[in-house]
Amino acid sequence: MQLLQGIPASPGIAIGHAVLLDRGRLSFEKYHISPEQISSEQARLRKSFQTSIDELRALQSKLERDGDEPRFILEAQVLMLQDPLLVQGALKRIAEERVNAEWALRLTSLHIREFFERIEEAYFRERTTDVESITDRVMTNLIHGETPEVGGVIHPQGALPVLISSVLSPAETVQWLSAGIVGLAVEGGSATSHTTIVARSLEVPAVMGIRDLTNIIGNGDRIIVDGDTGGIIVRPSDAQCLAYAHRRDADRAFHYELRRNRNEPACSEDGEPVELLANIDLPEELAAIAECGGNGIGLLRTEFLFLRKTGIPTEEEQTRYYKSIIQRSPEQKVTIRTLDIGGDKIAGGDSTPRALRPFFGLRAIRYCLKEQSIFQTQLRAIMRAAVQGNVRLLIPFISSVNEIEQVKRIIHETSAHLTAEKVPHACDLPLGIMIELPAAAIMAKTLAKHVDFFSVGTNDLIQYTLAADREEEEANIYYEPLHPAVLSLLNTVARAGREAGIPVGICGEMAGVPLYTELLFGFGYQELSMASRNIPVVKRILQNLNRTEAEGFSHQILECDTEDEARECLSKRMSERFPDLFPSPY
Amino acid sequence: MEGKREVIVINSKGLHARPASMIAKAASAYDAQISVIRGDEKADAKSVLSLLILAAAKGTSLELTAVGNGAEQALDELEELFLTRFNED
Repeated sequence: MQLLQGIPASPGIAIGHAVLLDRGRLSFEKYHISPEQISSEQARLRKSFQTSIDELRALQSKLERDGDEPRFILEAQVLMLQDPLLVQGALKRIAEERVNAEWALRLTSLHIREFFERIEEAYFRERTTDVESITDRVMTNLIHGETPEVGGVIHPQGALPVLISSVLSPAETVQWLSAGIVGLAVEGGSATSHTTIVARSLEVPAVMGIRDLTNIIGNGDRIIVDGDTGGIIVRPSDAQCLAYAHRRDADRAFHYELRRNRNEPACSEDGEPVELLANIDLPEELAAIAECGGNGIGLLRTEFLFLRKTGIPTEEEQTRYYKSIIQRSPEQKVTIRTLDIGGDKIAGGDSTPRALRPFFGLRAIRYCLKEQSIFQTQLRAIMRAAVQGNVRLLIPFISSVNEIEQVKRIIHETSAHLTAEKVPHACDLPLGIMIELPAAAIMAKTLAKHVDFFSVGTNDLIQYTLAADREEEEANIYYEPLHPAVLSLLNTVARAGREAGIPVGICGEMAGVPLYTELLFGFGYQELSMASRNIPVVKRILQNLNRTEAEGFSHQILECDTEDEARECLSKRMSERFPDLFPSPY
Repeated sequence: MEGKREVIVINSKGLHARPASMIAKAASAYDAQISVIRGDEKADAKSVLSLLILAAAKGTSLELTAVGNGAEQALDELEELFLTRFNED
């Protein structure tokens, strides 16, 4: 037995047998052929190309409801599988150099790769990975007749396959996940990489960032993936498997049962509504919102668009992207947050869109106010896309009224330009700000006079208030949502919003934690935005709450002198009221 | 039939995977032999890979040539793709 720790990427538990994705280690025979064999060898190669194309097309059709990006990746690969440079090149080698199909394919691919490696610009040079990927596919088909399906050949009979890999491209992720993989563990990647998002949207438990994984685990080894904690158990004992299987089944039954409330209204027992919204990064996650009964999108992060290797997205690309999400969310709130990263992250190699740790530099709105052309392009795209639908604009990292004034001026100018160009656009989108800096929370009353809504980013608010760094082992013990200072700020913000008559919501992790639902409802939060998966359980709690009672209770918690006292008080009450959701700690 | 055109890459990201795919797809519909030339490098317009190898960034000037059936029409269609920035910006 061996325990490994990675980053929790997609929640849930998977127990199965390791299937190692063994890339680049395809061994093949090299031999010379006689003139009589040329045509049969060429036919064999042609057939493998065709099989590969068929495989990708089949995969593409499975992607109907998914986003543009994965489909395009497959499309480009299909074109490359028909590329004369590769296909004709390899066929010619068979005839001229009298080598077998596998050898000819490898030589041709290496030859093409040499051209790519001479290119100076990183983007073009890196396309060589596409060549490798398709060559691998054709090679596998040459050797095995077809690319082995996960369901049958590779894993021991009857065992559930858990995919283990050093890296995983988006196309591979889609392929393997739709082929029946029950879990995913990857050496590279992060909590926010594309692979993670796809895993989450297909609800496959996943852990990323486990160093050295492929050297520790062997094909067929028993493995447990705990997507909730980021833990991996290699070769677990029978007792461990049983314990985890119990947890997994209970968890599944629990979520399945909860989701039956998807069409019920999100309001308290006494009829006070709270909008339960979803936080999303990509269009692939839209299906899950409906499935979990979400009322719309409370936070659409836009960082992904800006982190691709192809550079800063153009206005057209962004417009198309936002439009595709808005069109698929008819009648529902779509809250688009403008770019929330620092300039150092844009269009570079770093795949972590938003640092989890506190960062004081030129980030989010500060960066956008400095690099106004990037900000204006994003605003133009959002305004153009928002001609239909119910779109709201959310500005991150605001610390002063000055910044709000500047943002408003830029929005105004941008709209004026669009009008002058006769481009249809939405000109008065509701404008909201993230309350994530203590400064903003403290002066919420003043800020409320200048905007249409508040959304509290609790993760950052807690980190900045308590000088706690969640990524830093020494400092993460200071991260405490129930610290009296944090609770006092949460109360201040809610009250300021209420008094000014603007909606106040939370889009940080606290919004999706059922333990805090009554507390936040009691403070007066009217919107809770969270990972879709948490919506059903939060709704279940909400439906049993009473406005007056919750207010009284939240005041009682505010009176606590310590976070321990507050936590004990909360846990006790929740386990009494919802014994099935909160097993008693006593 | 034979023809020749000068074009400039004006879309901001240059001939990356998506535009290259669009060119190859469009060119493959014609019998004519179509080339995209950058300096002394010549790419087969029907080959995504050879187009990518040209590594043509924004501002690069290229020559399109076509020989054979439908040459003029093919050149018109490809030129249009360049002029409309491959629907990108």
